[in-house]
Amino acid sequence: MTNNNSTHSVTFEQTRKKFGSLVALDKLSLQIQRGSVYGFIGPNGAGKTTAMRILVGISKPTSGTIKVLDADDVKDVRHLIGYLPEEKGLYKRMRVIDYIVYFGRLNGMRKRDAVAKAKAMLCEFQLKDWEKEKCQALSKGMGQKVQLMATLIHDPILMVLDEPFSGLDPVNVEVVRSIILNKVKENSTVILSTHIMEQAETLCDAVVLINKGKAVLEGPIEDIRKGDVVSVDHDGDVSVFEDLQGIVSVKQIGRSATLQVDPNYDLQSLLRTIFERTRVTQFNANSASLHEIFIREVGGSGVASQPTVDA
Amino acid sequence: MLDRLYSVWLVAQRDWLEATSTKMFWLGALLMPVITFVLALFGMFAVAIASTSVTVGSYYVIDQSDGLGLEIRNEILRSDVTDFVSMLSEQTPGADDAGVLRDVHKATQTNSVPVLVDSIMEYLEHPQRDFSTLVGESLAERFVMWWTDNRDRIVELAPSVSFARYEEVLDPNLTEQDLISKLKAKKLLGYFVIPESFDSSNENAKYVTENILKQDLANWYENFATRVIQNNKFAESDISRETAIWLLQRASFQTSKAIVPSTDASSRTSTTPSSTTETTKEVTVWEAVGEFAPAVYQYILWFLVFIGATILMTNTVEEKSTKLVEVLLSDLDSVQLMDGKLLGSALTLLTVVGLWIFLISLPITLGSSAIVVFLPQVGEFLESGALSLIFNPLYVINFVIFFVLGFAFYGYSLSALGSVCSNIREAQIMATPINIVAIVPLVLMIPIALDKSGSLATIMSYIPPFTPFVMMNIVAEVSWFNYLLVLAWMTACTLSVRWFAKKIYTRGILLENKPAGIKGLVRLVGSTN
Repeated sequence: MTNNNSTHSVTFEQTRKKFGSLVALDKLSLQIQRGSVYGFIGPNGAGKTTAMRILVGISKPTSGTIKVLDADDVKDVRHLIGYLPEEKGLYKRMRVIDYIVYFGRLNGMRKRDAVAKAKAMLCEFQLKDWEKEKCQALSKGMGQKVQLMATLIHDPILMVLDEPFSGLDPVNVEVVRSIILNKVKENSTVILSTHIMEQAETLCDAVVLINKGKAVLEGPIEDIRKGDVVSVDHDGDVSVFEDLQGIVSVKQIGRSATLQVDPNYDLQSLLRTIFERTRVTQFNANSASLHEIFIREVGGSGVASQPTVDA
Repeated sequence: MLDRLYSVWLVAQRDWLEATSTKMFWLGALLMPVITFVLALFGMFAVAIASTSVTVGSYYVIDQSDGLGLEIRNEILRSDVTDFVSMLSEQTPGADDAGVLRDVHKATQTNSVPVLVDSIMEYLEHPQRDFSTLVGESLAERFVMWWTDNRDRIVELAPSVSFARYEEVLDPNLTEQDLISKLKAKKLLGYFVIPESFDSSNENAKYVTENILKQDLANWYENFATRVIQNNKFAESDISRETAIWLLQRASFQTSKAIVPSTDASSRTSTTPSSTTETTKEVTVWEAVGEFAPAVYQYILWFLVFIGATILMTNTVEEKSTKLVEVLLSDLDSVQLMDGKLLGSALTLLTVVGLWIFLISLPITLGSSAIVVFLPQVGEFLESGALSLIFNPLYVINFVIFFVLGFAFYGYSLSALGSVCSNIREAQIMATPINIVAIVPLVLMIPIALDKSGSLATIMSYIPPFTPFVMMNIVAEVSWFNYLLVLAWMTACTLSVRWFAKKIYTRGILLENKPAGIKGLVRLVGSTN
């Protein structure tokens, strides 16, 4: 049963998915706030698409549970979800308007309503002139917009968009961004996966970073970015930072080093040690970007106790 | 439940509309009956042309016996004269024909054909055959004079005469080397070697030809040679020709069909069985052809099921490779999608069948009289009642039933296979075993049609991949008990295939790589999606 009144649109609870001996998703637990934009980030093959497929009911978890819009079975709320998969295909011989209307009708819309809505959307997406063309005549970007229209035609309250920006030009990226933000304003929930960390950073309220099927980091963007990145211009070489407590990773280019500092370690004590070892000409402390966090967590260093040093 | 069915209908409707809204579909669907019609016309004309313009083939006889070759030649001549005189006895020659033919026609009204033939053969059988000395005193003489000068007219009036097809080369100077050269140059169909003691042994008797597959000349000449040797043996045993013919008389039965006897007062009160003329009816050629209607239904059923199932498999692979299926599966269950696509393909095929029936019935209903003028065979066919035999409701209803079962059986199977493949080539390779199995009922179509109640037909009707096709062929001969049992069994098997297909499809459609053969498919059945 669904009441759609909970504060969470989606709840994963120890959700696990195995394909033979391969664990695609390992005990994922997270909650997604209603009316927010939530990002699934992670490297290729991390398990993002598997999680999204479970979310929309295409796949079933091997163990654990998932609650979508308060329903224990996704099938019960399927008509409230709009799903845009990563690889986007169209029925090439179908007319653009028929394609959009078809998906509207599959989600329970009456034909007349679906046609009216499709026409309005085509205007909104500036594809009015293409209404009666066959899908095979569309460019890749246009095709993606048509796909998005088919995803949104039935006004879903939960949208699951797998790599919605891939292949779009900057103008269309902005179109999609504004659509996502408008939906959120209407209290819809948008879950998206992306490889573009800047997109996630500016668009998402919260993210989960999945690596090898596991949630490595999860929570609001601000909380995830908490922790320090220190840039130091100094006279020494990279060996200055060897064996230093509290440093997760070091990257040195010329005389400039970027240090990833363990947020739990005392930054003042670390700086004192560095000053003792070399002459510092410039020093800067910032919050880590999502891109840096992604590289840090996925790029091989993980959360190792010993820092990795790149010169 | 209604929502689920509505979604299935939407998928079916989309697939049907997409398939039928292309020019290629209508072109293909229209071309098929047109091509069939043109081929049938071509066949009829070819037969007609072949029967009117037969190329006469030459043959030669090397006779090493004591005149057996001449005897055979005369026997052939006797047969030709008999055919011609028999023809004259049945039909009056035209006003343009020679008076002698009209006289022979009149003579056949008072004399038997063999008597007339004997009188003619007295002249024709003469070894020297110097017909120039004939003066035409008797009817036989006049006839022989006409016969020797009018071979083309003879062939026109009696196409069954031997020299319409074969002609013996009468040149005593030809050597075997000459004959071989003629054979190589295609100037001779073949030559016969009659050995010295041919009347007692076939040893060294030869028929030499370049085309060993074409045996009609050899068979034809062999029949006459046999007849001559038999006649000689009867003569040696003092058995007259008439007695010999009587002895050689073959027993034969006219194939007839049982008909439901009328229930008039006399038959109801009769205590003895009705005579055979009241309960049986002679079978015409067209009715015999009509008996093969179930086999034709079987062939059409097979054709439609496999065309449809293959299209279904191709569509599945296409939707998988374009990732469209992922969007669809977020709105539908995999089984809804499969059912919808199956229904859509079935509707497309039925549209094609409907179109064919319309196109075939249109000229028959609107212009049958015009067609009959050009093709009298069509008229014979329509009047024979074979049409009602072909469109027997029993066949039509069962065609629909077994189309549904067969198409579902193979459609679900090939959809499942298509779902685990990334491209059409992979799918075709995976489907090869199914295609090979499916050919079996087609290969056995004729043996089963000839013995519809036999063990082969019964056993095959219970093997699910063959059931729809075999049952279509034998349905008129199956008992109600067996029919219902087979129907229940096939339905259960089709539902099982649907269940297995659903398990494979649900997992397979999202797989990036093809599973390894049968093991991979079994693993998919056992896993969750």
